[in-house]
Amino acid sequence: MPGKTFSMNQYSSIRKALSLLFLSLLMLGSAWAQNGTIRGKISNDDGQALEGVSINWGTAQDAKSSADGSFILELPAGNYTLTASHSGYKSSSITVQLAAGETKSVNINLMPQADVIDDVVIVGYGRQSRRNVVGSISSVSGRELTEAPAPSFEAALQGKAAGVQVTVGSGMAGSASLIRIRGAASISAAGDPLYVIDGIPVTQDYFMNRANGSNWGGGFNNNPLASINPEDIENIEILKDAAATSIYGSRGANGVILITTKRARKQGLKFDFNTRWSVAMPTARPDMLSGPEWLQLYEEAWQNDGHVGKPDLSAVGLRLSWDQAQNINTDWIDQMIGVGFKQSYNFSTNYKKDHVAVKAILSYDDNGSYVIGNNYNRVSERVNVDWKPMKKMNVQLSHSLSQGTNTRVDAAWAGGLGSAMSTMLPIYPLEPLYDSASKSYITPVGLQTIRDLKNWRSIEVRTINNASLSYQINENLAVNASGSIDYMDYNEFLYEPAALIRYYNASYLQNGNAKWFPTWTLNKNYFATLQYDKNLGKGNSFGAMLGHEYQHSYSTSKYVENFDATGPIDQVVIPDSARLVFSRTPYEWAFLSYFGRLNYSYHNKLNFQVTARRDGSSRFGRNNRYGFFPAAAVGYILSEEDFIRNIKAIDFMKLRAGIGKSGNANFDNYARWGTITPSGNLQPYNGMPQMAPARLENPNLKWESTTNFDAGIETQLWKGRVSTELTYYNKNTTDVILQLSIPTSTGFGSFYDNVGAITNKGVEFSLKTVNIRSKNTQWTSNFNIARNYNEITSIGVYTEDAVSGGTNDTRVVVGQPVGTNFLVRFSHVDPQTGAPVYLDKDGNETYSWDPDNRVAVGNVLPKAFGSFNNVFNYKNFELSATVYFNIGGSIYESSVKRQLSLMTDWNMDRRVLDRWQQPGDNALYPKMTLNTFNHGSTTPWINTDLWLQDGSFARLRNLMFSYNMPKAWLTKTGFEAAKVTLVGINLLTWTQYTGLDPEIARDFENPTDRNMSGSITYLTPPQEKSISLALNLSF
Amino acid sequence: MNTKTFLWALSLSAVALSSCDKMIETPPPNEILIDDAVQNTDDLQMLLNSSYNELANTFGGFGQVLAELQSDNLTLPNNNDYREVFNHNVLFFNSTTGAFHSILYRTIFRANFVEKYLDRAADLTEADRTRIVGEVAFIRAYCHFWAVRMFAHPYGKTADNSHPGIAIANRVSTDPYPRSTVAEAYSAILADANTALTNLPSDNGYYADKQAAQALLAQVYFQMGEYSQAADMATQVINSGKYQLSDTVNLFNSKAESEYVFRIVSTGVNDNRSGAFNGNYAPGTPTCQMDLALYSNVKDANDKRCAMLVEANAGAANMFVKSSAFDAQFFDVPLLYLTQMHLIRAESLALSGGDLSVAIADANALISRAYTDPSGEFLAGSSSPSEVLSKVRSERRMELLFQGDRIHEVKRLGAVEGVNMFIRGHRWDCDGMILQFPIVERTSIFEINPTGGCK
Repeated sequence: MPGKTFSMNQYSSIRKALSLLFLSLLMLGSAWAQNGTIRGKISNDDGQALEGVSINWGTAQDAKSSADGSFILELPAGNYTLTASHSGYKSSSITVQLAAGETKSVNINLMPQADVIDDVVIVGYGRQSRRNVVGSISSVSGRELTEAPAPSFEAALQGKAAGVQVTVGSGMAGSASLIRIRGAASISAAGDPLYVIDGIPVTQDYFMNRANGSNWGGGFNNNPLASINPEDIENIEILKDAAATSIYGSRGANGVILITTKRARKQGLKFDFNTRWSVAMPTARPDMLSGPEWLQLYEEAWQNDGHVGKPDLSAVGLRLSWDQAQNINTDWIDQMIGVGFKQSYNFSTNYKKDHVAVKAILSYDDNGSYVIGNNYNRVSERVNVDWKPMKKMNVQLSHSLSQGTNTRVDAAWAGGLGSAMSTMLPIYPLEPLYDSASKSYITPVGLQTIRDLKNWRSIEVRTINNASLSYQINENLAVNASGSIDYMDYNEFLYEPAALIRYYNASYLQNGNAKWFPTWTLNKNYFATLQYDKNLGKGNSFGAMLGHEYQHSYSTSKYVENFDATGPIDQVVIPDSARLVFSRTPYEWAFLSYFGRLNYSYHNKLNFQVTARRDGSSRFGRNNRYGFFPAAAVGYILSEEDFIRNIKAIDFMKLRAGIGKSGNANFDNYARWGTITPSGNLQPYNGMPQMAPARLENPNLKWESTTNFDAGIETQLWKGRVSTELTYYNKNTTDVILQLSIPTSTGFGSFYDNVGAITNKGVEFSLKTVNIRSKNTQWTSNFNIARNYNEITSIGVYTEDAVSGGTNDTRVVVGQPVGTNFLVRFSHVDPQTGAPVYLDKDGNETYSWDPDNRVAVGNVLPKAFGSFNNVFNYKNFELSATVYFNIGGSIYESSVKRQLSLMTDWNMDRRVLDRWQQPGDNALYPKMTLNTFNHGSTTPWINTDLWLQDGSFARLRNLMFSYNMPKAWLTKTGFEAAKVTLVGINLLTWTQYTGLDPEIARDFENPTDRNMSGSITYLTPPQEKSISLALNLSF
Repeated sequence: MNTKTFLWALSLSAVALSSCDKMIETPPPNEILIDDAVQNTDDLQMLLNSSYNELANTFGGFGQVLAELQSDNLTLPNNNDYREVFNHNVLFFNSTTGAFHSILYRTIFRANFVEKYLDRAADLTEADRTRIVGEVAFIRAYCHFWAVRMFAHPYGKTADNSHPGIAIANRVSTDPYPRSTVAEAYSAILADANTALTNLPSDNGYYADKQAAQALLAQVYFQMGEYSQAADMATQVINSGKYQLSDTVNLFNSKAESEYVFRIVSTGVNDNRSGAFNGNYAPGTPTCQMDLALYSNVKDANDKRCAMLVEANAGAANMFVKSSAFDAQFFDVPLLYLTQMHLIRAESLALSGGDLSVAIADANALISRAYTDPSGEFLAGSSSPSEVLSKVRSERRMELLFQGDRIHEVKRLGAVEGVNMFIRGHRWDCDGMILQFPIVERTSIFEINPTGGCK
């Protein structure tokens, strides 16, 4: 049964022809004498002929429509229900009564956006019909990604698939989301899924700023996915279990996101245009103390500490006098937060004729955030060409070029809005106070001045290109070769003019300081597959695929600086001689792989699949150069069995189960090598040269290994009224890579090793219902929820602090989840003294804070999350609403230990007003003091669970209202379709959390923190809420 | 199917990939691999020098100041990490004591590393091999001796010294070490020091030599209460004839070189290995100031060493006393030197019933240097052992003031001599009297010290 298993190429019409031929032959043999003929034509709702549509009329038989949408079936007399199915369209059925010798004509009209069952699904190195897929794969269409604005395409995946946790990034333009598929299985290796665009695992380094030595991006990482135009995306497949991901071997364990870009599908020349205009505001506004309030609390602290008289601000390092401060009251938040404006324009051309199909997309997206001065601007173009130079050959070219310009402002700990929430006191004036005696400013330069004077951009030019060629050697055998290049030219430009520098150094005489941090990454891959398909008749078929792949990535960077520049390095001429150039160490990595897949379909109801991959990587130690990743799975289409088929309510039912191994190899490129710091880099001792071991070799370093069991049941009931999917999974990850803080008695502080084990198990459930389906009205609901249980089951001989969660105090605790908040417990405020009372390990009250009393008190992962979406259609109107929810999971507000506790040179959050003031007070926060000893600690800024809260929330992610112009209106205009949409994002949030925004994907500096402390906020800007108006035109 | 085509395609891809392992070998650019770097004796020598380099960074005052902070020689410092040490309640996040532990063991690791790669140098002579083996053992013994005294309770606290010791680092590996007992630690230290004694040459420039090993053994035995062996080792150093007592009371001074057995070398202001002494004691208002009660006790116009104690804000509430011994911008730091040997021998002989006349001579040699008019200070030839002990100990405190010796003396007296010693109300054996390990030391095979300080 060719065409039904999986083909390698969307345009492989040879196969379709062959299948028709084959089917005709089958018919010939069986029922030649009594046949009738069905002539059919399949078109879409626009009347366009659809090619390659599967026409199915029984258990084991199907055909495909040809280029003009037509098909011919010679069938024995009888009653048939023909079902037409095609990727991206709803299946449609028609009943035909066929008498012997009769010829009947049928027209089948397919409506877009098919239900799941009969789609074609992209799988690793191929495609399969969803019906026969044995792995756990969620599909998201491009339309779903672009219907609402998002900072980057991956954010739009939120709520679209069960078990795919998408935590949308901050309100900074272009910010990165945090995606975890089926929990967290990595600690020091990146826990992100593998992103594959048109066949190439793309560059996805979130820490590029760090790699080239720049620390300015801190507070806000470059999002490597932001330059990818969501409008280019045809669909996304999210591969979740081993059956689906093992084919990606050592890189599949944290899930794989396969992105397929748009190709020309409609015959002829067609155009689409859409535009969107938005305004954005923060979902929550920081509520800081005013000048008088801050001074009042300072005075209170001063008196609590036993001082008398006029408080002295120098106790916290201020040079401002108490009297000066009385007259100043600046709202720095007001200076930083405004209204963001966004606009986007997309123009796309579709051309398809004869052997050539071209899709061209031109987009402009200008994404201003509510943080004044911050903007992400993307210009992109794409050209995808399909060409069939000869009958057996298909050529696909995919090309994109984009430029993402991030106009940066300081954020979080780096300044800007972060400073407005912390170090910029309301008693500092907009223009700093100058002290002529010391010839210096005694208050910091205004945040608005820094923002306005600093010229800071990162510009990423990215081009992703793929050429793939497939050749049908014979009816069973096809070869496919694909080569891709993903080139990223990332530049960070910073210019600080003299006017700004003089605020810090009044005697500065030169021009400005210009810096440039470029990083170039060339990422290439090549793969070839050989595909064998054999129809064994009676719904039995066999498929085999063999392939190999090589991928290599090379990054190089440098740092260029000029201290006397009149403008940014990219905008003024600075001769080479005036440039200070520091070269950076380049880095590279490579993977060499062999893989294969066997599929067997038995009577079209039992589908078996075995996959295997052997991966070698430059990152693996000398004793473990290659890893092997097998998987086996079975799918049982129960609805093919009579006992189910007889139940009218059930349209489709499939059980599937699979087990396999996949890995994660996304860790430090050079940790395996033992290296020496040469004598040239070290100061001599005793006048003699020295050289020292820098890093010990780890010859055993290897991939993290995940054994993944998955079982699920998919059903469709009552003619598509209800679709459900229920999945259970159990993932056991061993050899988890830890960047260990090893005992210093070994002579080292840090070492990468495979020592941990993590379990993730959970249940995913999705339900899709069509509640109303009538002529003018339709109401559909989509609900999904996933519950994940995560536990670190081993960290070898090491203990909680073996992997540092930095100052966020998340630790690796055996028996607890990844990202456990490991804190000293705060009990209460002593009503008599106002001193904080802590609990020791055993739960006894104590006044002194000792880190030995830390216990596991929370964790960053939610217990469950999901979404609920409803779409109402009435005539040409559509109203849809999506609520995303997160149940459980803790939020640690890491910055409030300074905003709500000790009196320092920070401004405070207004919640601090609930502090102890006099004996008898039952206050939430301890008494104000300037002395950390009064909080029972020898060090300031201690972490306790007073700053930990439940992170549960639900939010109205989007609310959308759209109107499709009636065709009657459009006929005279020349437009085929026109739609106006009004979208509101994050308009409502329900939560008990008292901080800013309960949905946090904080930008970090390394994968460990990203895995362990993702939801720990530190002056993190809240997400934005926005309202947009969009117009879509087709012509 | 077309089997031929299939096989053809398959073999083509096989050929294309047959020699591809190099495609996934991407060694770190701009870095030197260990395998390439260690080839000959010069390389070993450079590696060994890096161990000495860390030794210099550990004992250019860093370790000595921490030891001094635990003792009763200083006042409460204005530094949070130091305060925890001073208050005998070091938390496991204390980054200063953590850094001390780290650098101490890095020194040992680098010595072990040299040993591991000895066989890679084809040109290594037997003499060089012997010497290097001796130097490695010396460094290891010296550092472990410091580690066990700072992070574990003293030798003698339990009868069999089965109380928790330290990590005995004796291999090149990132695998954590178990925690030894104090007995095991001392036996490893003695074994290494004796290996050093056997293998080290009599002259090795500024690096460790035979006398350095003897001086170290003298200190170790002394700490263990093995006084006759301590006296014997000290005697061997004194009788080597290589050293003479200096005539200056400030031994942190090139004029005192004549008595240096083993030193940390500073070659100039840009290669200043004495910075931790200078930085903690020399500034106008230094972090490390002398305990005022001690000062008023020892203040003596006749004592030349008191001339190095400088009063500031005299008579005022904020009066403090600082040492001027470390004021030089850079200087060599003596770790093992002749004065120590005389002090050890004198006290050891008095304690072990040895030749008291030698003990008295040792003491009087130092007294003669220390006082403007020593006549009233000399020990009479007829002094009893207890009179000798008392005088030697008071001289010891002055001679070794601010060098990190006092705390070990207090603990030795407590643990070995059974004296009920207290520092700031804390008994010599209370929990907080030893430094806490950095938290990363805690593994399932290594229990760190109890938390909570001295109660």
